[in-house]
Amino acid sequence: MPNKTISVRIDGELVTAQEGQTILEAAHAHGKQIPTLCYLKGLSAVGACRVCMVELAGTDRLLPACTTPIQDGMSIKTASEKLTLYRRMAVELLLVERNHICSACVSNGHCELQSMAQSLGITHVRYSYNNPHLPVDMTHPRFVLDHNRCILCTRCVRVCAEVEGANVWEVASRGIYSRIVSDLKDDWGQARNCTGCGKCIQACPTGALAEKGFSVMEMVKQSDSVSRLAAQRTHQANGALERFGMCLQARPEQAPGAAVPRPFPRSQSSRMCSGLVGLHPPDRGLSRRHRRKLSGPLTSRPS
Amino acid sequence: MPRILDIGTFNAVRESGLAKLLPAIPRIAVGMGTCGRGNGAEELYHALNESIQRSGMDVLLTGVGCFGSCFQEPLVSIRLPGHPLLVLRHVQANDAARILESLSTQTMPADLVYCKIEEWDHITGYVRYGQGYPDVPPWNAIPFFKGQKKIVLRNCGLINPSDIEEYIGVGGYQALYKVLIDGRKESVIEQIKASRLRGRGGAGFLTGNKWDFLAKAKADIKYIICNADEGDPGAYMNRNEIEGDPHSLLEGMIIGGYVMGATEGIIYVRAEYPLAVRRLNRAIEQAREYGLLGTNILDRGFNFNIQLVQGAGAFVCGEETALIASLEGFAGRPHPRPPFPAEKGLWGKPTNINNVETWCNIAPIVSRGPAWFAETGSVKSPGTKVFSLVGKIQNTGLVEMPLGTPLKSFIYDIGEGAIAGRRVKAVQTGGPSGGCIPLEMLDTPVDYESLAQIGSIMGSGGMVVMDEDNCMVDVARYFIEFTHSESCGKCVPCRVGLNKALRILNAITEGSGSAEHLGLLDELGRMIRECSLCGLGQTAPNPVLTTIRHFREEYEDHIVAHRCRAGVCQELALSPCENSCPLRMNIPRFLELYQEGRLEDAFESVILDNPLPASTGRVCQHPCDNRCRRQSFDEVVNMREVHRFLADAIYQSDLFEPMLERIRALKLASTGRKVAVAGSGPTGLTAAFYLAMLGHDVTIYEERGEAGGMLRFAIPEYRLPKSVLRRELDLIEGIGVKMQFNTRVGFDLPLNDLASSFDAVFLSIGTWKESWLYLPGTELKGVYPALPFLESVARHEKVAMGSRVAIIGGGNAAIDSARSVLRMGANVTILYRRERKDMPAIDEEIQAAEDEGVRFVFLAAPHRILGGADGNVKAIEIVKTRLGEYDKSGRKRPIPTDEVQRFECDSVILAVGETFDLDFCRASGLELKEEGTIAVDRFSFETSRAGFYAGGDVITGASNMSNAMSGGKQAARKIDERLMGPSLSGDARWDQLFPEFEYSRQAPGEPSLSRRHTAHSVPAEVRVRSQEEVVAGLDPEEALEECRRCLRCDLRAAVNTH
Ligand code: SF4
Ligand code: SF4
Ligand code: FES
Repeated sequence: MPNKTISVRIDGELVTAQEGQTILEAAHAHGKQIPTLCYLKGLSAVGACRVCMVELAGTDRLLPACTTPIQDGMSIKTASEKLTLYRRMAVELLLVERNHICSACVSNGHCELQSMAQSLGITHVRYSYNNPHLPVDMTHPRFVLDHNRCILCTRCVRVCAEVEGANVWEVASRGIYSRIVSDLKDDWGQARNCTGCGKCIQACPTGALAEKGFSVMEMVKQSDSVSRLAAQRTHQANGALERFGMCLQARPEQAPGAAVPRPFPRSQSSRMCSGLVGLHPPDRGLSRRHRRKLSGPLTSRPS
Repeated sequence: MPRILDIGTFNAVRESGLAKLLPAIPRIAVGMGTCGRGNGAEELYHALNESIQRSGMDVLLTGVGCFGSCFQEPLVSIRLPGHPLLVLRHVQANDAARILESLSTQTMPADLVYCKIEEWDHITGYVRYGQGYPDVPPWNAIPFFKGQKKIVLRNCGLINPSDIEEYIGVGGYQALYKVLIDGRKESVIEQIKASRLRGRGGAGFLTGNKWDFLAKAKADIKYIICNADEGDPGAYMNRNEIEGDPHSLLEGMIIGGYVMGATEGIIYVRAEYPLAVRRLNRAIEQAREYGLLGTNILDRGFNFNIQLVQGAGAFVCGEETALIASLEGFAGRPHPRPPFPAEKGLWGKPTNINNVETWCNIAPIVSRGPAWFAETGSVKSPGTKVFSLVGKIQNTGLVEMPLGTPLKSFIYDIGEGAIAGRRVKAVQTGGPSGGCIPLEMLDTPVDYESLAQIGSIMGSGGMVVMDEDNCMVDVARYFIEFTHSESCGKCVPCRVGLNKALRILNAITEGSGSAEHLGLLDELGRMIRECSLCGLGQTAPNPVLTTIRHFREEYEDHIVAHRCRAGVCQELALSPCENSCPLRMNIPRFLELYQEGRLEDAFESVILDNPLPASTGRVCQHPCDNRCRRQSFDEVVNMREVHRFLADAIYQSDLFEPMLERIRALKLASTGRKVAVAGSGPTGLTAAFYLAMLGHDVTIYEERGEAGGMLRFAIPEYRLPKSVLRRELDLIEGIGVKMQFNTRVGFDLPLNDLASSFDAVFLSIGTWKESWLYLPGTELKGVYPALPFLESVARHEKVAMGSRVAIIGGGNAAIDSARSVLRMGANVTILYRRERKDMPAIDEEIQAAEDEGVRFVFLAAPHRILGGADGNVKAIEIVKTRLGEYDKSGRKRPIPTDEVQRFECDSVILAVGETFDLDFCRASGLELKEEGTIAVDRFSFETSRAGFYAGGDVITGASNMSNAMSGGKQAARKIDERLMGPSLSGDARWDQLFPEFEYSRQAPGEPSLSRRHTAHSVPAEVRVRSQEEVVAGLDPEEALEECRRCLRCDLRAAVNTH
């Protein structure tokens, strides 16, 4: 079913979009950048971080670009003083909520939260730090979950459920006490479903989920690969189902064939062998050596 | 059980239902809602049952839901055949026998009778109970019900909710019958649309449009859901609606199901409402039996089922997408919309969600038509809304009012105003995410748009009334704490933003707020409101944003002055009495010190807090009394009399000189700074005392020939003997304050001269100018303004009064004048335009005046003064007033009537208020405010001119003694801070003034059980004939006993930390 073409304005520019696209997708399709944190292309959008808010001209309402379907005739403003203020505040709030001590983080220099803060010009935070005492789950043989760095974007939850199909992750508790948990709040090491594919690691925007054995600044992630794969799988699945006259009900209503922009351009090319993502058999308990081989040359370092 | 298949069976059931409502035997119905049960309805029911069994009478005993007036529970309604329904209130189990007896005698216990109902419009039907009981007011003459219109609550409290036949008896399920017979689904939707009914859950979306979406959605299965997940603290309308009339909800849903093409209905109800769940289950069961639910409803081939699902009590599940997630078995977290439930709801199928109250409106609209519905309420918000009116108000309960009714009708008409002796300050509408509306805005009509405009919301209909005892910062903190703990945590603004807001509010209420906090809070609130994902987050900041908007001063008080006027924020107050004392005297400390037998220490503690303890001990309005916790036990501690006693004990003995030495020794080293104080009234004396203690060289300039201001020249001798005041002045002069008399600042001594010879000037001039009332006849001889009159009396000057004197006014000056006139041997009448309880004068003084023989005429406004040919006053004419609406002061406005009365009199005293003579200020570059007071910074007391400060009446307008002194005390501290700069030694200079006292920090194991000791008045007949002081203080024994009555609330903090 071909999607209807509609015309919209983004930052004053008259452009076309496909019906069913979100504001974010339409903007990306025309090379417009809107900051995002919880969004990861290919996964369903949840609208959790609220940094992608945009203004709808003619109203004083703000809309999350990642979840709002674009409609014919909409005029969207992606940048304004107010938007910058609110985006900054959202990032500031994330920075004070837990313990984001970049100088001691594996993801320092490669962290989406950090680069978002930089690009928004955040030099200090105005709220007091919460300094919560949060545990680090080291029970998995190859990976680690550090709650101190988690921003609850739920990218791990979604990639695990929607791409890997393992449903290891969930969010437990509520409000400020929300935590990412594996299985029924077990240690990750005990999670029976975990295939050890590592997609959550790659999807995680911060140092919350990381591979073991990395030191400060060493954990470089490949979220765009996960997202490419995810997009491809949805597409394929839809294709397969269409042959039976059905369409995958999964939430991401991706516009097939839309360009694949990189939300956060990275200088390094993919270092993830396709085997690791998705198509790999359960690889829990892979040996360190094996893992390192899979991780490729960038991670080699004195052992 | 008859299954209703056709109109014949339907009518038969209707008849039998009506027969239960209007039986040929007496019917007794007990209000058995949760509110009734909480007040003992169950015991009452059993007691009645037993009495009936025992007496063997033929009586129909049944239970009904809540009739709305929860403050009168338990309610019982009684109907004797042919008579009106009689509603009894506050009925207890032990009244059962009495009630049964009265059935035979036909005279109801008068103390229990509340109102009667002769006929009732059930909207879907009409019931005539009968005529009679001429002495009993009809229900809608009772203030609580007057103006209410019961559409949603049409059956509540009248029919037995567990009996479907009674519901059918009052016309229930007829609307459904009609819809099914007609079979024109679109026309029903059109009707709902035309009625412009709006969702009663809070957002106010047009119900008809919502229905239309679902009707048009194409899907094999559609769901309709009733949202009964009412989670607001203080709101319980849905609970009572279900408990009182569950079928009304079911009927609405079945109609909705039919016209929207749904076959499944779900009621999502809180598990915390066990009674509602039980009644609903029973109702569903009965509806099935009668063929109104299930398959082939009313034999029209329509199938519809209703399922009950109990929610686990998460507030966020009131949000429709979270509710759906919860129904699907997921955690209750909202999803972004779109997609809206109407496209993709429960199990991905089109779904319609409406609130209980919305569903309850359906049957009436269908049976009476949209035009009838739109007659009530406002154009944009037709119909009624049920509110739960709670908080600091006389009448609480569920009220159903037309939308668009002004807020003040709720407070003053339905609620009958604040609880005795208090003033309404604000109303919070819309539950925890609503806004606080200040008293000044009570004209706001209660509808969706108007409330939104002032930053609040309709919400589900909570209405919490607050008075001066509520701290608005604490209110905001409380609600944020609630929404914070209920946030699902999905989106950042709500999860982290509310957490930060809560922490900031905590800091402010604990006294560690900073100036930036207010800005941060405001910004945070806006961001959370605009950026959150669901309604919870989007509305959660409302309490903060509205309190910042309307009660900014309270925030500033907390942050800058560490002051919580309401005395709620515990960290900012030592004890309730200390917090309510304008001088913030450490009351428990002096009570304890004296109790330990340390008179001098106790006095030292007193004098350092309050430099005029003997005078305040006699004339202070003693606000401390209002807050003393002992009042919940017996009577408040008489703190004022104790410090009066302590002062007298020192001043009238040879302890005075050594005491003076002791206080002098506490003075800080001389600073070499010179400060001038203009005016020697309570404010000026207080400021001078503290400034001198702080080591400054202080000179008071006084216009008159003696010091004391109002204390000396306005308060009569019999209340405050001059000899007492003299001792207080001795002490102040004794610590080095210099006084310059007969010098009028601004005239004899220009401000510029002061500026050049002093480092700081403090202006504390009293309100000596009497406001003049422009009445015909005020130019006559024998008309006196009160203050000059009192001053002449104080100077022992002769004033010609004649033998009959009329006094106009209700303040302390009016009472003082009256009692002074009495002592001159004349007759006095006080004319006041409101009622006694509205008089601003101190209550004891009014009482004393009455005892002495002053006559009072209330509700009397002066009209004109009549004179004789000689130009002397002959009589005064007054207009009787009646009390109208409440004004901004929370008192009823006096409105003149046509009735004029005449009082013969020889002179008239006008005591209608005081102002100042501040012309000199204007000339010397001091900015004045519109009200004519000097403009100062609220916290630093600086005027617009550098080096000049002002405090007391001159900045607040006429006030009372302790308030005036408090101005002087605070100003002295600020002046010192400004003169000396920040202290380098760490310890603020101010704090150095106050020595540490060692005294027991142990709560009294057993506080004294004795009653409050009051001072002894000289008998009225004796005292009117003399100028002698009329109230003798406590004796040492009594004072000691009074000290022992203190509960030591100041120790709370210490207890908490253990
Ligand atoms: S662990 Fe990472 S991916 Fe998962 S919620 Fe936290 S920040 Fe997001
Ligand atoms: S606003 Fe609050 S409750 Fe609503 S989604 Fe966000 S975190 Fe959850
Ligand atoms: S990217 Fe849209 S809300 Fe996070």
